[in-house]
Amino acid sequence: MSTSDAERVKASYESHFGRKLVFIFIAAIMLLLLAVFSLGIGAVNFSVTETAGALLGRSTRMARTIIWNIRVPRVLTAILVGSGLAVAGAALQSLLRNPLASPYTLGISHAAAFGAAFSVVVLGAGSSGGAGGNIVFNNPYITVLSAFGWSMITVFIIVTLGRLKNSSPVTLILTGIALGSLFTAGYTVMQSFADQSELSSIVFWTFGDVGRTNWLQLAIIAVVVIPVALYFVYRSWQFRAMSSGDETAKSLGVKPKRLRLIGTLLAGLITALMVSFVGIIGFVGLVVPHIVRRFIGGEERSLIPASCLVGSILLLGSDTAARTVVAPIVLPVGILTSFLGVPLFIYLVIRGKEYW
Amino acid sequence: MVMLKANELEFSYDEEPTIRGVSFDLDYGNILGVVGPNGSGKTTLIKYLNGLVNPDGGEITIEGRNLTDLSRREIARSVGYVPQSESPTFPSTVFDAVLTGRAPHSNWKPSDGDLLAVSETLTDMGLADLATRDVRELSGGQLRKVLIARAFAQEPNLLLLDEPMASLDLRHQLEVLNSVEGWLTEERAALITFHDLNLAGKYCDKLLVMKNGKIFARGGPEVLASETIEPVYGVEVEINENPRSRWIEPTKPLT
Repeated sequence: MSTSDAERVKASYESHFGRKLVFIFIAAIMLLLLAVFSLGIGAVNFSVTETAGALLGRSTRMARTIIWNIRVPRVLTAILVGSGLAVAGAALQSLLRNPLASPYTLGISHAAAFGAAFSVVVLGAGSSGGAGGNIVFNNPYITVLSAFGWSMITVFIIVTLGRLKNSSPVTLILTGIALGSLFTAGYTVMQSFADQSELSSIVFWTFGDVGRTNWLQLAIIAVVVIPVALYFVYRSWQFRAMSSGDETAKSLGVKPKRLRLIGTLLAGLITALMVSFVGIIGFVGLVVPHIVRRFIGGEERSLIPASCLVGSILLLGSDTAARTVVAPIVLPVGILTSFLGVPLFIYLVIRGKEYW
Repeated sequence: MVMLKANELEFSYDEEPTIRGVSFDLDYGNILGVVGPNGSGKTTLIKYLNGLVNPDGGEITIEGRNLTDLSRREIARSVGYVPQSESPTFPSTVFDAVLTGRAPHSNWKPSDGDLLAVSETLTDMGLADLATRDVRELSGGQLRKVLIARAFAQEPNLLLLDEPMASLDLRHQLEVLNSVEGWLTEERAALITFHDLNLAGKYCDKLLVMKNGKIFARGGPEVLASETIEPVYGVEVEINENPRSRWIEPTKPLT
């Protein structure tokens, strides 16, 4: 062996990895620019200077109110939720070794939808017609707590089954699919018992919308999602060791079952929290890791942070489009991510032969 | 001097005993070959030695330390494992696949030293040109070399290889076995399971012949004689010997 040959191989890999870091850097810049653009655009448009002025408190009261009270929470929610869904999807795909795994594979969103319907029909968080026929929740916190509670029940069932001696990644996925079907049936039962206004509020809740959160909810999301995302980044190298199978992972010093259960629990926790606050936002968790793999490969040390950024870009971009393309009507962003996600997903499936 | 000591190993799968009272020693600087027909317990034995199965009984000591006293990470620093096959789900470069071999030595990210260790291993194994290729694009022989390189990158003292020659062409068989021979030093040892008795006889210092989860015979390459092979494999064999080599040829199944 020649040392210079080894140095050459190392330099070639470092250059290869450096290109992934460039991708992450470009994604971060794009997210920043998109955030500034998104803050300025809406029913009232502001230039970049006006937006910056409002952020620094140097503009008109109206501009400051619009930017700080409406758009900043909305943009930050889109960034955090997009990032959280994507990182949960990337982590679950690696931990369960399944390209179709996503926060929704575990049945969490179905449980949250059932929980929201349950709160409206059974717990009396139902709607009453607001001014102009708007849908108003009598007590939105009951809906959030119910959605979160039912989601976490799902997560605990899956994690408990995952601790059984002979459980495998497939056990977790199949359990999630089965629970998803169960909660869909329960959701339908709730709908059949709902009156007209309750039905409207259930359907409204199901459409994901990042404009629902207030500063407190945003803070709760941030406090939970950011540490979990950092944990996934920290464990990303161990996720790579797990991608070749549990026996290989064990032989490399990783405890696969434990890591999978902790990872699934955390991914479930952030998904349950986000879905409870903003409703169902489809496909971000599923497609973002695949988009990232197309560009920079499947190595988790770069995949996980890049997924966070691309998830934020996708959701913030979708939300910005959702509230501007048919203005003044604001489309629920969950619908737009599905419209974007489904064709992309089908494309990935068709191209699958060379991919998975 | 003994590096690995296995004492009265017992393991059952679904209450069916697959390893029964297996005891043996592996000395430093040696390659121990394990042969036997399909289902004789070779793969289970190798997993047992790496702590990958929950045993029913028995004791394993590696370099004087009881396997059950070691953490998963400590085992990974001492024992390298090359499975029979592996099919990665997601894209990964050859370099990244081998880099996971450094995971037992580092925490959350690879150090500069880890990158250099992997680069040296890839260069030694003749895999340097494939460093940034996707492992899923490799041939069976190339992938097997990558798995061995990953185990080398762990810097273990004991290497466990489960049928590393399976479905490899002649050139790759020799390359794989030569790489293990090149890796071996007086501080290291390897245990390899084989289907090819001729390769086992040629490359191993000692051999265990297994049948139905038990050791049927043990010894040097000469243990592969017709009185051992015929009852274990159920075939008649012809042994051709000359001063330079020994060739085992199966002639017909025993009825």
